[in-house]
Amino acid sequence: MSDMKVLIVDDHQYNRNLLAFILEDFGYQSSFACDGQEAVDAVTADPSIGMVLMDVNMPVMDGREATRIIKETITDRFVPIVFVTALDEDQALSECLSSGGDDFISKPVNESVLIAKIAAHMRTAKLYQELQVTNKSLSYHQRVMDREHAIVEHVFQNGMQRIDLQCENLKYRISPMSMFNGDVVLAAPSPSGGLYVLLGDFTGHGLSAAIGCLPVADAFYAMANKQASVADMATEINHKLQSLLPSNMFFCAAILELSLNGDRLSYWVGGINDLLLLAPDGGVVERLQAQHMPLGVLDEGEFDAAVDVVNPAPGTRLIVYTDGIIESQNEQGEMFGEERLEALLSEPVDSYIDLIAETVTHFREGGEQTDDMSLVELECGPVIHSDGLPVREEADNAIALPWKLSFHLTALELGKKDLVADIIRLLGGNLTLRSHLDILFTVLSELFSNALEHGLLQLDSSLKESPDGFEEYYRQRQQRIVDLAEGTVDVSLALTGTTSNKLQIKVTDSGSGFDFESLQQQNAEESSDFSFGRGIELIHTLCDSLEYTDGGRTVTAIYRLD
Amino acid sequence: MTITSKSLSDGQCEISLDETFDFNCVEDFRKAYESVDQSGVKKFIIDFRRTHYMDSSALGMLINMQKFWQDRCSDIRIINTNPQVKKIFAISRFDKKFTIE
Repeated sequence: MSDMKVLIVDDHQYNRNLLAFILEDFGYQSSFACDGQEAVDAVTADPSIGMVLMDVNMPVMDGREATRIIKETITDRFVPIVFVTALDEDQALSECLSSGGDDFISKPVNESVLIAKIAAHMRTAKLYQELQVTNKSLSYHQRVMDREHAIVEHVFQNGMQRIDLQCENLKYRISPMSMFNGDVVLAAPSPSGGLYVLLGDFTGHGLSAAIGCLPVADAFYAMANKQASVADMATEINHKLQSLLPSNMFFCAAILELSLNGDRLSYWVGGINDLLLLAPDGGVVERLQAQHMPLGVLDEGEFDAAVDVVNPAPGTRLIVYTDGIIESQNEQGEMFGEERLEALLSEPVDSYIDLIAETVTHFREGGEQTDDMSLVELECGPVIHSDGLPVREEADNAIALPWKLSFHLTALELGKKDLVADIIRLLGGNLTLRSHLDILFTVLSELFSNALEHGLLQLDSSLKESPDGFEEYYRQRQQRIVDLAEGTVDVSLALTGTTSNKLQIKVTDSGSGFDFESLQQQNAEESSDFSFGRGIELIHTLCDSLEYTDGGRTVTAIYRLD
Repeated sequence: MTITSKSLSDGQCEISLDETFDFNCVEDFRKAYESVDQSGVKKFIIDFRRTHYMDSSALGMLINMQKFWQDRCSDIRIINTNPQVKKIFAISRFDKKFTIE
C-alpha cells in the first residue's frame, strides 16, 4: 500500500478510533487531531501526512476553516481533504467543498466506500507528486539551457561579427529569424587588395544550423589571409564541414573573389539560387548558376573545386541571396518568388538590397518569416577599402633582440630542393621579419645561387641566352651537384644595428672565387631583354649595401627592416 | 611543386603557380605555356595568388615565355601578386613588359 499517512480529525475519540480501525485493516497508517487547529499544525509539521479525513463541526477551529488554511499554506505538496459528515443539506456540503475540500463521505461511514475513496485520492496525490518531480527537473533544465544559450550567444557574437572591413563595393544584409542564425555572410580583403565574399545558408535554422558558422568563418578568414584561391577556400571549408556535420546537414554557399581592379570575378557556387549580374542601370544581364552540390556533402575524393570566372563590365552589380527571400510568404500563403525579385531589379536604384528587404518585409506582412533571409550586393569595379588594407601591426611592437643564425652546408645538403625556402620559413616565426620574408627569399636565393652555381659548380651564365640553354643550365646545375664530392657554402643571417633594424646576410663558398668586378660590370651592360643577369642588380636595389670580399668567395648584403 | 595550366573560354589561358616560383620550376613552367593549343590563345593569365617566393630565374622564365609567344599572343597578365612580389617586379621593371595586377 501507500507509505503516506492519513490524518483523522475528529473531536470524538470514538469516531477517531472507528476510522483508524478500518484504515488499519486495509494497511493504512493513521495519526490523529482533535480539532481544526491541531489538524493544521499536524499537516504543517509532518510531511508524511498524505491525506486528511476531516470532521466538520469541532471546537477551537471547525473543519472548513482548517481546510482553507491547509490548502492555502501547504503549496509544496498536494494533500487531499475528505470531509466526514452527518450533514446532508446541499448548502452545507457545498460550503465544505468551496472551502477547499476535495470530497466528502457521509456518516455513518460505509467501509468499502471509505476505502475506495481513500485509494482514489491517494492515486491523485501520487500523480501530483510525480508531476512535481518532472516539473522541478524541467525548470532545472530550462535554467541550464538559458545559461548555456547566453554563453553560446556571446561566443557567436564574438565569432561571427567579424565583417569589420569597410569596402565601398560591398553591401550586405542578414536577418535572423531566431536567436541564432543559419545564414552566414563573410567578407575579407585579399592581401593583394581584392575582396573575398562568402554568403551561405545551413540547412535548418537556429542553434543547430548556426553551430556550423564558426568553423566556416575560421576557415574563411584564415584562407583569405593567405590569399588562397576560391577553389582552395571551397575545398578547405568542405573538408572542415564534411568531418563535422551530420550527414543530413549541409551548407549551401557562394564563395566569390573580386580582383583589385574589379574586372575579374571568380566564383564557386554550390546549392544556392542563381547569382544575378545586373547592368549598371538595372536589369538582369546574366545568371550565374550553381555549378556544384552544397558544401559538406561530398568527401575529398568526390569534391569538385572547379571555379568559374566572369569579366564583368565596370559598374555591373552582383546580387546573391538566400532562400528566405524568394520563399517569404504573404498572408495568403503565396511565395515572393523569383519573378517578383527580378522585376524589382529592373529599376535603376542606389541600393538593391534595401529595396529588396523593404519590399519583402512589406509583402510578408501578416505572413510568417519561415527561413533566414540574407542578401549581398557587390559592385564590380576597382575595389576600394575605405579603411585601407589591414596592416599587421605586431611587427612594430615586437621587441627585437640581436641574433645570428648560421648554416654550414656541405655537398650533402647543397642539392636539397627548396633549401632557401626552408631557411626563409625558419625565419617565419620572427615577427620583425615576417613582412619581409618574400623579398628576403629573393635576396638570399640570389646570393646563394651565385655562390653555388659560379663559386662551386663553375656554371656558365652565357648558356642562358636561349630558352633551351636556359633549361640546359639548370640541368647541368643539378648534374654537377650530384657529382660534387666536396665543397661547402656557409650562410649566416644576423640582426645588427643599434636598433636591430638591419639584417646582415653573408654567404661564403669554398670555391676558387671569381672575378666579381667583371660580373658586376657585365650585369650593368646587359640588355633588359635577356632572360638572365638581373639578379645582382636586383639585390643592389633591394639591399642597403652589397660587398664582395675574399676574392669573390664571400658576399655580404645588408637589408634594412624598417 | 605544381604548375597547372587551364584553358578558359574565349581564348584565355590561365597558369597557376605554387608557393615558390624558382629554378626548380624551369621545366614545368616551360611545359605549361608551350603545351597550350597555339592557334586559339589570345590572352595569358599567370596567377601568383599562392606565390610568395621568387628568385631571379623566375624573371628569366617569364621573359622566355614572352619570347616564345611574342608573335602570336602579346597579352600576358600577371595577377594576384602580393605587395612584396609586386615590389620585385617593379624593381626589375617588369611592369613595363607585363600587365601586373
